[in-house]
Amino acid sequence: MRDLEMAFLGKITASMTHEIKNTLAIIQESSGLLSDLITLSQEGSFPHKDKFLRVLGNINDQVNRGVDITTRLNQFAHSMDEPLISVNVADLLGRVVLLMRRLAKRQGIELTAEAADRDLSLMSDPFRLQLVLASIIEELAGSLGSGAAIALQTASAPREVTIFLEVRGAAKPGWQGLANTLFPGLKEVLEILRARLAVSSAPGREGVVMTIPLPEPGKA
Amino acid sequence: MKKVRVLLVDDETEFVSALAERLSLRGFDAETATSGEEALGKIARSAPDIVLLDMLMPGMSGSEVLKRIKHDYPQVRVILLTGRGSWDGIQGIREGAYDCLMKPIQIEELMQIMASAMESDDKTQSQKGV
Repeated sequence: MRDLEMAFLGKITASMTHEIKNTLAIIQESSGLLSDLITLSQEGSFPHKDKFLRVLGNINDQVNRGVDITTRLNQFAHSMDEPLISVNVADLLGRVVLLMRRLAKRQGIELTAEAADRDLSLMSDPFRLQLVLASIIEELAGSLGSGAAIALQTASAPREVTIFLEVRGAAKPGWQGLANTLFPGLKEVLEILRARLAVSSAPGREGVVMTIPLPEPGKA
Repeated sequence: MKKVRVLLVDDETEFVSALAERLSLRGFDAETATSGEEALGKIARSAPDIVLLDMLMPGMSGSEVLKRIKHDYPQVRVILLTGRGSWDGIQGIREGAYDCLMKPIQIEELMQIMASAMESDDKTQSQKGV
């Protein structure tokens, strides 16, 4: 997809998420008002008071969940704005996990972000980074058995950033085949990111490693 | 004791009416406006203590309304409401807003910010003409 088209898609998605937040705000204030009125009612004058308050609390919890999802979706949409910006890797992993969690859950796979360094950042294209990570997660989720997990981790060296998608639990035999099936399709994106992918089959350290070189000091 | 007067400005009618009722239940004198133009008209008739102002509205934007309020009624505290992101809030605070809240808001957080706004030294200074 070209940058202009991506920016358009991002702009429309960002606008829609703003509308969703307005809707959630109305639900929250309306349920909050009901909650206030029931709380203020005289003892015994409102039947099933506790049940109503509990249900209104559930509504509030779901509004907060919706806000979290739309905030991440909004950030994802804005990641299409600029092809090269400073990317906080921990935030990026958190966003990818939230956006992909449902897809992984459908296959019985738990998805977590475990960034060791919350401040780790690099100049890169956040949209394409997410595209690569989401593609790997999707492929891995199909290769793992229900009950397995994928943990997104980070590491940094002086000249590179590493994102490790660690596979935990029941992997189907031959899961490493994604190096042949998935990686070639990502070649163009990986070239733009100047990143490389590799499969790690080391016992207790199985997964996919994405390495992104950092510019040498003094170079853009 | 004099009630704190709050004007809620947002084009989402259901949002402002529900929030205004919640504020009334908490002892505020709450009024609503659904556009920047309507808000400025109400402020001109009787300036409130606090304005809760949505940033993104059809017609006059929240940013324009904020500038007009800070120019004509510097004693009025403006708390911004935005659903878009923190950048709106940072810009708004640079332009004179007291604080910014992301929508949907948490009523307890709003209460704290309004209490803090009413206690702020800036207001006292404005009233003295400093």
